[in-house]
Formats: sequence, structure tokens, C-alpha cells
Amino acid sequence: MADKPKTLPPTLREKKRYLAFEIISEKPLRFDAIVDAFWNALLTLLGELGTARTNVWFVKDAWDEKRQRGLVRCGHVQVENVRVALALITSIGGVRVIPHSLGVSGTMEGARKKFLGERTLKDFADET
Amino acid sequence: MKFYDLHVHAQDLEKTVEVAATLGFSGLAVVEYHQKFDAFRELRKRLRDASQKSGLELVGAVEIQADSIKTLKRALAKYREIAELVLVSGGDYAINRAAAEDGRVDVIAHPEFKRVDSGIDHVVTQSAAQNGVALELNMGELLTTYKRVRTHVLNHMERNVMLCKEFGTPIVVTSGAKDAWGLRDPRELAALAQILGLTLEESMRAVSDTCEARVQANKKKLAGKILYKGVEVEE
Repeated sequence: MADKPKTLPPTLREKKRYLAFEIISEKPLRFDAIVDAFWNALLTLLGELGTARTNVWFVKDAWDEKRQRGLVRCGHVQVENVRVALALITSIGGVRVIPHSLGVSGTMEGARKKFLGERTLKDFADET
Repeated sequence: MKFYDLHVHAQDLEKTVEVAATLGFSGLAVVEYHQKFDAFRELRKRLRDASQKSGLELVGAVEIQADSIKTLKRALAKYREIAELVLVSGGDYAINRAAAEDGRVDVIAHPEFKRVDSGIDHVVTQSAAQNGVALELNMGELLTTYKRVRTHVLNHMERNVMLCKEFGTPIVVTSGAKDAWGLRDPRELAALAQILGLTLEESMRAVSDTCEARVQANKKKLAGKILYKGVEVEE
């Protein structure tokens, strides 16, 4: 017997979107601090039930410390709620910030390529 | 698509313009209060220089903070001929109504400001629609309030959006920024309008076409190119 549920068929899976964002701030911020501020903003604006419905997930691997850019995953009908919650963050740990949403993509690969400027091995292969 | 923020108070103009360009705005209406006439004239000069330097369309706007209808009318007569945009600070029902009934007003800013109700009713909204006066959704109000107060503000905004949709009153979404850190990107402003009840198309219009059309029409009027309603001087 398998110890975890089977992966749902594509038609039953929740449709996801990846929202790319940039944090314009007085000084560079750590990913953990941003995630905390984001959770606070979501819970304040949408409440616990509303936040649960956003199905939000912060992609740690995609965080670009240097350019202060990252990705957040959410349900496809919840993008606008997440965007507004992001916009309502005014300061993180006493540092004033302007959250800037860069755009939305349906796949993580697309979001990384388009908004974070990442290149894959295939891109290198295509170029050479 | 060109994006505009029609309500920005710029303490540090250079920084504000720089951030606005980063966020993707094509133009800003930088606001000065009506009590400061000399500061407003000075601001317009600075905006002209900053506009040439940055490439952004910067217009001088005046925010009338009237405590009576008489003050409102007087300020309108004084500023309409020199300001590219005239905002009336809302919050008082009588002022909101008088502003909605006067075609010289461009935008009623935060009509629900510090009120226990939404500040406007069907009469005000209908008058605003007839006179082409836009109602503002001010994101700055949400940035400066928290929890309980914020829920009231959101509730009032949602009600105002519903009324505006009913009567076809133009809506503009602004950041109401006090400095560069209060600016928010146009897509986020549109998202706010969207969660309050507008469609995606309507909300995008509230930060782009509606604002742009108003700014361009007022610029033409100030340049003397629009003689009467419907009569325009072509180059």
C-alpha cells in the first residue's frame, strides 16, 4: 500500500499561477522577512479562510537576493487578491518598501524565464 | 497602454518621478493643496523641467479642501484656468454633492474619507455621471488604515463602485501617495478596483484611458484649443 495519495489527474488539479514580484526598498531584505510580511498582509486583508483559499506558496528557490525578485504561487482565480495583499505591504522590519508585481505566468519555468531572466540549458543549446 | 496616477503628493519630486517610471507609469498628476497658491505655481514650473528630464507626463493638480460650498466655488474659479487637474477632497456629504454637480471638477478624491458611511448616494453618483466628474478609489487610505478601520474603508469603496457602475460614473484609481514610498504600480491599483467589483477591463480603464482622456482634454482646454463643448481648434 502506498504511503501517500496518488497524484490527481490534470483535470482535477487546482490551476496554479505564478506571480513574479520585486521589492523596492531602502536596503536589501531577507526572504524570510518578506514571507512573514506577505503572510501578515494576506491574513489581514483576506482573513484565515480567504488566505486558505488562495493556496499561496512562496517559492524559496526562485528568490533572487541581488535583484530582490521572487515568485509566489497561488490559485488561478486568486491572483488579484494576492496582488492587492502584496501591494498593501508598506514596511518590512522598519524598512520602507514598494512591492511591485512584475507579472503572472502559468508555469514556474515561464515565470523564471520571463520575469527573473533565468536561462535554462536548453536556451544555451539553442544559442550555440 | 498608458498608465496614470492622478493623485500624488511629491515631497521629493525627483525620487517620486524615478519610482513612478520604474513602476511603469506614463504620467503623474502631482497635487498641491488649494491654500498654497504660490507653491502651486512653483510646482508647475518644477514639473515642466522634471517632465522634460524624465520623459514622463507630469501635470499640476490642485486638491481643494473646502469647508463650505462657498470656499469650493471660489477655489474652482481661481484654479480652473491654471490647473491641469482639479480634485476636490471629499469626506463631507455637502461638498461631495456640490462637487458632483459642478462640471469644473475633475475628480472627487476619497469621498468616504473619515466617514461612517460611503459619503455618496445615488443622487451624487448620478450628478457626477451627468457632469463627467470622476470618483476616486484611493489606495493610500488602505495603506494608512488597519484591520477594523480598513474593513470599513473597503466596504465603503465597494459600495461606491457599485453605485458608479449603476449610473456609469467614471472611476479613477489612485495611490494617493504622500511621498515616493506610497506609490503602487498600476496593475496593483487595477487589482484593487477589480476585487471591489469592477471587471478587468473596467479596472484597467480606471488607471489608464479614463485618466489619460481627462488629462489630455484639460491640457487642450488650457491651451485654448477647445472653444466650446464639441468645438475644437485643429492644428
